[in-house]
Amino acid sequence: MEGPDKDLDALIQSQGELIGSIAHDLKGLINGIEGGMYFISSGIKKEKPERIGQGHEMMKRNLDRIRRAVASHLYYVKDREINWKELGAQDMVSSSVASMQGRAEELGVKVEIVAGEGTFEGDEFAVRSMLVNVLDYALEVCHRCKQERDVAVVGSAETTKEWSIFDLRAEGFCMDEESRALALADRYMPRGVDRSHLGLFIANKIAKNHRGSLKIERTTEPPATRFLIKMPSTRATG
Amino acid sequence: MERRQRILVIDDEPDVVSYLSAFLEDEGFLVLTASSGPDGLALAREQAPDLITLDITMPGMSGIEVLTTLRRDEHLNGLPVVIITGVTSFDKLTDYRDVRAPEGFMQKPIDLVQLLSTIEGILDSPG
Repeated sequence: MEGPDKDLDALIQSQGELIGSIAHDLKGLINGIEGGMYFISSGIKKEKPERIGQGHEMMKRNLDRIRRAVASHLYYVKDREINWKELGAQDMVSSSVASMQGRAEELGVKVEIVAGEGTFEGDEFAVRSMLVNVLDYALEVCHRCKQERDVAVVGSAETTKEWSIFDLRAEGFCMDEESRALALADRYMPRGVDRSHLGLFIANKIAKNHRGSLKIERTTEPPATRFLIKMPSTRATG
Repeated sequence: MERRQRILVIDDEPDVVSYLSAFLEDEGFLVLTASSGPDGLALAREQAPDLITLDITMPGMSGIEVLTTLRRDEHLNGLPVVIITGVTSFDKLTDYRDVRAPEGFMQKPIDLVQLLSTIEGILDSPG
């Protein structure tokens, strides 16, 4: 197979993999909700209020995850026009961190991101989805190596007249080269049963749509994976 | 309902561990939990559970590697294992083929009735 047919074949395969990934994510979310329902119903039956509270938290956490997943998948499939508006770096960072706080607590990973007071232009829905996806990945990978060392997600957000820079580091973790390449590829391809880079893939697409970039680098002192998002601060400078 | 059997739940997703633990405890089992393959193997060696439920897609050491390690360990190779996974087909997971297959295989989302019946069937079976 050559030329356009080969491209079309690769595109169809990539879309199929994406649908598979979404279905896989949904299974996890259904599990979380069913778990929450089990805690609530058995808590009522056994008259254990703490169990009902635990179930409620589990449901809430998984509904948040569904909300985030739907938002980013919709952005990915619809390829929508950017709804430009002025955004505050602090607002974007704090709301993104807030939406991941439950997950961070569940996984026992600290998040500390300092944001400056500047503003920039972008699509509020998309930029938040981008930050949340990067944070989500950083939390997951920190959780994975938590037993081996202390980990945290730290970072900063700065805006200048020309650029808005979001610099996040998953400390204690170094992303391997294959995962990095898959996350930044033009088309989505999972690695075996590991589909954890889908969110990063979507984040990269959002950064590119804002005429910016997502770079993923390994740092050694301290050992970390650095996620560097750089976007023009205004439509005009892109 | 009081049973004496001990079940070790190995899964990296905290919600799944909580859910399975609560359900199995409600059914009268004693439950041990581990959030990674290496921790699960260490607990299996220390506590000698009667059965293990095992996730496949875990960071670091996958469930397939845990199963292979269990099967190749002379003290642990008799332990029954029920795989509980989001992966749709065990055929896709080719690496397990040189060791004895797991005693049970279930897909997520978890069907509690099927899970209980699978576990009881394994634990009640002779030898």
